[in-house]
Amino acid sequence: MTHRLPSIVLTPRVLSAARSPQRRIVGLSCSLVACLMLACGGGYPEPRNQLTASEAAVRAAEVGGAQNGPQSALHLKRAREQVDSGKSLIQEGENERADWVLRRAQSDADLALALAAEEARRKQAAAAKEELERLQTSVKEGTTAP
Amino acid sequence: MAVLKNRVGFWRVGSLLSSAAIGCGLLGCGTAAAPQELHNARHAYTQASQGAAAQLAPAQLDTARQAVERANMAFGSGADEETVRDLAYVAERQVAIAVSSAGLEQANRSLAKYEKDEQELRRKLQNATQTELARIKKELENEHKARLVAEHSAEAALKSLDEVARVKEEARGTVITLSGSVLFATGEHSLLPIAKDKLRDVAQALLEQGDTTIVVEGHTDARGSSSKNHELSLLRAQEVRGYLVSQGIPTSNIQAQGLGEERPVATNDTAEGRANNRRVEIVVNPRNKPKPRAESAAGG
Repeated sequence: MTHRLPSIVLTPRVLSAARSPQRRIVGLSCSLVACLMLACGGGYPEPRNQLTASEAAVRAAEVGGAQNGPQSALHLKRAREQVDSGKSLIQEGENERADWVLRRAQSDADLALALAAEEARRKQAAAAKEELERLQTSVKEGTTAP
Repeated sequence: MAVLKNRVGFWRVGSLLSSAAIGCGLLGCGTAAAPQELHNARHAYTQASQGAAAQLAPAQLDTARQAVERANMAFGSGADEETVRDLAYVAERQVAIAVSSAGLEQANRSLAKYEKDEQELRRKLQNATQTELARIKKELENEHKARLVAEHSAEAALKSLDEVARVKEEARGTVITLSGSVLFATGEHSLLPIAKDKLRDVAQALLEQGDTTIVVEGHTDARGSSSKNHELSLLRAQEVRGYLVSQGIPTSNIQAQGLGEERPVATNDTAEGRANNRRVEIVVNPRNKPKPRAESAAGG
């Protein structure tokens, strides 16, 4: 049984063609482009999904009233600043750094939302306590009809 | 029942080991010094795992544990410092979210209790006869007396702090002063074991005060560079704040400030004076908000 040689076998003719000046120029150009892409951060994709997630987290914190409490407002401010910084880094082609900065932004926005929710519920609880005490006082003083 | 107790015991031991492993960075401890952010995240997790979050927000605390482990593993596997810092930053906020979630759950429970009590009282009042109304009034009076006793014991608790700290009334609020030498080793910002006992008493007294706003201020003497002193005082204030939060003080009610050597209470020319200047002050119900210039910590 005989085997046919594959058509891309490195015959002397193929080797000589590979070494031709045109091929070398093409090869060098490809390497140069690859190096430039790596140097510009082209190897790391734009963190579009992370940007969307971070912006959504900031919006959620805003809707949750994070700007109303001192601590939640501080973290909301940091989140906004980091989203802006992430966008600038994307424009500069610093995609990997942008990805991390945006992750930081999302964590600050999530914390701002958690703090805002905690603060709001504490205020609700304080109001409920006040209402209960008001009712108890009015019963004791006889100002509430049975 | 015994099986349950064993299981709970096993879980608690496991939890303690896990928090100890994270605290010591055993899950990925390289030979190089860990960045400050990683220290902060480990500390925050250790404190949170010993506080209310373990019971009230176990899922969020577990997410935080995983985040701290990721940062530890990145550090242990020699990842670049910036990546470790980023992971630790996110982890510290995950811990803060767990602590805040515990606060939310606590507030939920309080709200449910007050609303239930109010409904119960209104239901009783709706069809009450004069005799029943008199009995309800009596019950409420007894409750009121019991509350006064509790408030009195809260005041007594604050006064009893005199044994572990100096308490005084100032224009900016009630100031509880703790000596730096009792809380920290020289140049360090990790709480000494004995300090935790004292701070537990402080936390208890603060909890009994009800809903208050608290500012923890770190102060140093004037030895060393001003920037180092400022940094150390902030780290110490954050450490005390973290511990008080772990003992149930609501995250949103407490801030930490580092004031360095800015506000001495004694001369820096004598050893005694310097010892008095090295301190942590806990200002309860401050009338003035913290200066915007001073750094403050919220997430931990």
